[in-house]
Amino acid sequence: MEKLLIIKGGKIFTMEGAPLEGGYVVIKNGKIEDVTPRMEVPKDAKVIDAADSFIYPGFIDIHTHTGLWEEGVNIEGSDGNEATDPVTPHVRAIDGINFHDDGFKEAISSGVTTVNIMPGSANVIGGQGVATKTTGEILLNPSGIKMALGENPKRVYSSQKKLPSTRLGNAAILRKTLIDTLNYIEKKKKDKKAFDFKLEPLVGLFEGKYPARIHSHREDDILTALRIMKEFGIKFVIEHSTEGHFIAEILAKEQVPCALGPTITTRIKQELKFRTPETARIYEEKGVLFAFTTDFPVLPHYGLFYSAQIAVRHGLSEEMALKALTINGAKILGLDHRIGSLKKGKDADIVITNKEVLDPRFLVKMTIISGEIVYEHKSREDLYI
Amino acid sequence: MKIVKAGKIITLKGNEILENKYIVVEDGIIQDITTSKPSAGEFIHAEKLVVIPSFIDPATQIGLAEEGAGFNYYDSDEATSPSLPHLRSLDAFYPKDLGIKDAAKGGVSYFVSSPGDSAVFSGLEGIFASKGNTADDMVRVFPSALKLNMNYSSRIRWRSEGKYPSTKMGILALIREKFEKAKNYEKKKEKEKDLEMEALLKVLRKEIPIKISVNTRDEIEKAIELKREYDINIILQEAEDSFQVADLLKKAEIPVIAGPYFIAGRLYHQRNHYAKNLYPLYEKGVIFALTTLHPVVPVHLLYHQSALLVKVGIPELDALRSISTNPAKILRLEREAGTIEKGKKANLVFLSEEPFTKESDVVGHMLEGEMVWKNF
Repeated sequence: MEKLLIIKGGKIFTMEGAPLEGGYVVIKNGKIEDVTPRMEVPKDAKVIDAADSFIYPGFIDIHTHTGLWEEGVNIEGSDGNEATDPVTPHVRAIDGINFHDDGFKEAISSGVTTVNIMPGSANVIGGQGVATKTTGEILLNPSGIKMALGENPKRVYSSQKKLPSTRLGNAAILRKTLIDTLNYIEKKKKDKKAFDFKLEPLVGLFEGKYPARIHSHREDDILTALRIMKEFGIKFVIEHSTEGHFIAEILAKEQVPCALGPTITTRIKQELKFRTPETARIYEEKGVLFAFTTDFPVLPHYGLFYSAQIAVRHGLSEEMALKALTINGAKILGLDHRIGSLKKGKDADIVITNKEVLDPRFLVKMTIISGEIVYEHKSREDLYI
Repeated sequence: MKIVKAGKIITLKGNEILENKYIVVEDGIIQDITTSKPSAGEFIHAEKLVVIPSFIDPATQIGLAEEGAGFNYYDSDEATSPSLPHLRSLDAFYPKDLGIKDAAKGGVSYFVSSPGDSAVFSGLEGIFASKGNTADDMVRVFPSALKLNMNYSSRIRWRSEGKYPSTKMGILALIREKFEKAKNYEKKKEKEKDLEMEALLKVLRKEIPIKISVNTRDEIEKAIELKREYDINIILQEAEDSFQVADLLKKAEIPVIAGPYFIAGRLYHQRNHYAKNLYPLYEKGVIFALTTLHPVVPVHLLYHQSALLVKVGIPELDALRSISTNPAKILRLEREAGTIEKGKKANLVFLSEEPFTKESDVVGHMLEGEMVWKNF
């Protein structure tokens, strides 16, 4: 039987109610065996003394391109967009990820233990995402179908003189592909041998197996996504949701979850004109389920914490900021039974820090993923900052 | 007369920290820092705040690469010829760029706005203040430097067009060719005015420094060579590998403008682009400043970026110096900015709490005596 690994806290942010001041997180076989204020420590247990530290569930970034756009590599490692056709549901992020890329090391050393990696936003239907631990342990494949509205598909395909070169075109392509899929589903009922490699991944959307994850910044794009998804009865997540603060009441009422961010970039595109660090606060006020995202490599993974810190300075509660870094992301991925909080039976993904993560100076002392210590800070050289 | 009643002042003059003082401001200048309450004037109550010198971003494209308008309104990169030293950022500066208000709110008093990245000699840059209605209201120094791109992005641009200079050799040849031409031009008694040559002469006469974007160690060494060969003042920008030659930079008294760091997606030549690599510069005493390269990273995050230096072990006051005192020195503004001292401009940032703490935010900004942002 495997020995127990015990973290002796420290302030433990379980994300299951108020933090525990002092206490124990007990790990066995990669899972959390217990979180308890007091216990008798078995003699043969390995104990990590985290008395002056802060203990969190592993942090989650639900929208990245980690390993798809590699760090320190030029075109040879640029695999985020199959920008040759606006409809590519058959391509899979997992087939393009270099799990040895420094991006993963940066994530782990920053305390990010789960990422949802998706194709980029050049295509209206970009392909299949994958939710994975940053060690490469796959959680969900596919985790959803990446889609994109707004400027990006317009820009890419108008330069190729192809449909779509307008927002009308984006929506038309999306609708047509979904109707093609419905027709394909009907055809399959009649002809068991029918198989369409391109449309097959979209069938899962209609079966509710995974959601559409739709890149949309502007209000009009978000509402187009809502309109079309309602029309077809498909579950979906709004990715970025830059102008979501304008329609937060609608997002809350329709129960549309949002991957929010990155909120600390420049407004380089027109569709980013109204990005503001206030969005998170407004989401909290109106009751929108959201999680922060870096869109790595737009921000480094550690940008997740700066996004949260800056949102807190603009009125977001600290409690919600921590949720939007942990459990909310788990919920949006449909993985809250495994990750996102420190609770008996969940995966032992744990981050130990020297200061609270809402303090801009904090450093990760240790990262544990599925019960294994995968990072320990010893010197400056260990940092990917 | 304005009087700032400050709870705490981190002057950045050495390690000086003052408590419960009055900063007396008139004509945009700090007239006095005193314990005795001045009798009259407009009081600014910052008893519960921490006052520090305001920030300076030494390398942006604010006003040129307009935000929120789309890529067609990027007016920073005249990528049509490798030699354009006579371009002037002042001529394209849009004073209503959204980034300028952000700068004011983020405590950035001055920023350099610089012509873009493709040309080898890409033009003359200037120092602007984040207040005013027109470019002429806002400009403080013009030109403040000539921009030279010896880095990857410049040569790869001309290589993609099959044009000279498309290699490091080509770039160095072009630089020398132009400098030699400028020296000859100066010797000529009777001459037609040549704007390109005039811009280069400002550097050769040491009227302004030349700011050189480089990435790798060999490019840095070439830049040092140019400094010696032509007896010019140089500033390095980006310079990801500078930690490998910190001793050389210290000896040659060459400052470095580093960053930005709230961004990933490094290319091969940027593989050492980490804030931790500034630690050796700090250790060896090389003067360095942080930049956002706005619009690469938004300018108002300059302060937040400096927290990364604290993370990598640089003392907090030196992290603050990297966004105030040091850029003031590099931009030759040290007599008027960069510290809180009698006789200097009243450029102050008001923090809600001690720097870098969880609650610490820029809640006020005084620029040359005027409150351009106040949220307390």
